[in-house]
Amino acid sequence: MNRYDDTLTIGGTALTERLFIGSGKYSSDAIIPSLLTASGAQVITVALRRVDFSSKSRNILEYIPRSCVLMPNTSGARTADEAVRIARLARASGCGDWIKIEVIQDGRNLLPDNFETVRATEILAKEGFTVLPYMSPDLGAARRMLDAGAAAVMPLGSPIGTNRGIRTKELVQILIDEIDLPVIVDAGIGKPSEAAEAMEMGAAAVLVNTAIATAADPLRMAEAFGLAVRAGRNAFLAGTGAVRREAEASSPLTGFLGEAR
Amino acid sequence: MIHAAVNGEPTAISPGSTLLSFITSKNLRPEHIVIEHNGVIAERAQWERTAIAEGDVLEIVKFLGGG
Repeated sequence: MNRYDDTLTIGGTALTERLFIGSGKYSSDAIIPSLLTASGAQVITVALRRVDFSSKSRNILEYIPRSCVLMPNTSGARTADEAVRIARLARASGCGDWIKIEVIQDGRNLLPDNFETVRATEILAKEGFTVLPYMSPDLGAARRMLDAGAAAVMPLGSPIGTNRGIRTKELVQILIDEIDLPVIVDAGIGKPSEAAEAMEMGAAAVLVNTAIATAADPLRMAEAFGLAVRAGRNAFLAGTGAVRREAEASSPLTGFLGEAR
Repeated sequence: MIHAAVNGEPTAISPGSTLLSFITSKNLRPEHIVIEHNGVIAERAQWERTAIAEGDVLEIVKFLGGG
């Protein structure tokens, strides 16, 4: 495959960049255009909340170019029905039909409820949404997401906001190997090397928020993540060489100086 | 005044207000928000013609930063 033709198509949208970014935890939304430029990201997540009538800050949509895919999440939903309600409100904004399903009852670990997430996926996929469920990396649940009409599955690397990396590596690898859908590692990726690791494993993309937002220099970190995701993807496409137990010289073992001929 | 619940807050609203006039009075730009009116998403094109009635429940939402 020509690497320049390497696109990821989700919900009919062809993406050339495999880093998705979140927009949470920034002190000002005004950084968003620079983040998108620095990282190259073409997909950005947002949350939906009640309007605060006392707030004078500008709307986040003013900072997100229309060329960027908006992926609202259903954060705050504790059940499938609540996620469906949020998704319908999000789509009524007229900003597209992508939705990141996030159904969480566990406030301590913020781990998703796969069962409710499958239910929400099924309802919303039937309504024509491009559904990207955030999930615990479970093969059976991922198969049900596929059957329910998910456009991708988004297993967590470690709990949201922890920057602990891909602790679920073996389970995520099983999803990549077994599920005929893009697998996007979402949550927990703390460093560019971990994003590259996910891409080398064959992930279709990664979604990063906290690692960039909480870096000392978010714009530089956004650029570092963009580079790491491209590097990891290229490594995957190139095909990594065999791992050997014993040494194998890289230089010829003949023609040494002073060798008797 | 008409009494409605707006984002969970009891709110007094001038009689004759529509969804559009209400959000305009709150300095909100229509293209940036979504309104749920008594549990049903209010179509944008109807905001100007939809009157707010006594006891109505409005949820007015927008996007903000999130992961």
